[in-house]
Amino acid sequence: MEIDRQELERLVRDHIDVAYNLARYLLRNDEDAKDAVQDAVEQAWSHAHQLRIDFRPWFLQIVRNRCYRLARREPTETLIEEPVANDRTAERVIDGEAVRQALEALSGEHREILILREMEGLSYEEIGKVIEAPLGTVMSRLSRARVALRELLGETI
Amino acid sequence: MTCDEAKLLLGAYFDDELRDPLQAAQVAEHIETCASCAADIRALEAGRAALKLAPRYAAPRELLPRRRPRFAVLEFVTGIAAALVIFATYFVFADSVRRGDRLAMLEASHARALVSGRLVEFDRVDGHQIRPWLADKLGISPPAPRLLAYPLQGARVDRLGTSPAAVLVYGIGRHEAEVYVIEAESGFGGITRAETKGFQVRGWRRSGLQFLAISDASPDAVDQFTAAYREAP
Repeated sequence: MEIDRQELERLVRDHIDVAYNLARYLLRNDEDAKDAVQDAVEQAWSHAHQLRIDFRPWFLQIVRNRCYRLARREPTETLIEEPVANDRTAERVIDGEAVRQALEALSGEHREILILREMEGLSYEEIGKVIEAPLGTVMSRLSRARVALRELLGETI
Repeated sequence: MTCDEAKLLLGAYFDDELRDPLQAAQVAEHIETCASCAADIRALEAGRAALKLAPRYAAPRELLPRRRPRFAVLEFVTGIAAALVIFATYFVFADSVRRGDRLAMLEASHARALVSGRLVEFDRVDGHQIRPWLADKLGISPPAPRLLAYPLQGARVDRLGTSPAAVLVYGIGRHEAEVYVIEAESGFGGITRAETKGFQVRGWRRSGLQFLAISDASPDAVDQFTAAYREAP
């Protein structure tokens, strides 16, 4: 589907925050996130001819791939941090910072699927397009990611 | 629906992703009666609520798509160029209209004089007498040289538009040539060489005066006459 410049510009503008939020959580710093989104925007411009009607997952897939490429690792291996054992977790009141830390402690694939689903409200089908996985994988991975987050946040939720 | 069956579907149920409404109803029914699954749903809700607390990063402004500068510059330059073309077209067009008007005026004046047979009002062909006569009438005193090949027939006072004109009449063979002399600022400066309705027109400026020669002689003959007039002392 060919779309004109103005239309693409509008679409990018509408989805730039979703893209940045995903990149920022995946890469965990502003500069890399900016680079990844910038690259993705440029790629979107140059691949506008491949653009399907469903812009959001298409664009986020590009963003995600740029993030993993920037991290220079395979998606399944990248961005994984050992969960930080934090025995104070249970005593703390859950606030945004605690959730952010927990998110960042998750593996990349758990982190991204939680962001796409819970923060951005993507459907399973859209998530499947972004992470290039079938629906069954989306469901099982999302389920494991939720459990992993819960374990990190501890008893407080 | 057994508890094990329900647990497999809880996430999709929670996410409103169960396609089959009957299945969704069965899960809902099971949750009503199962403490374990109800607790799982509450955990899912708590997880979602927790994630809503996490910062959602907004894209820095510099990432917002902007019209790329080169396009902005291109559009700007194109705009300026278009404006220039429009202005230029207007002025060229307007100028050609004015030029056409001036030529028509000159031609009309000359033709009127030819038809009326009063090309010459002052027929004492001594240039020394013509110049004071014109100066007296108009305050314009153009050179009225006697030319070997082109007999000076006399002079006349006429008008071009609103400008008073001194007219010198010369013969080119069996044709007449008239030299209109007006103030340089009269707006007839745009004509150097033209043809209108079979008349050759040559224009030039000298010493604050605008000269316009007009004749029905051939272009070459008019060029030669004009050159002779201009080169005369």
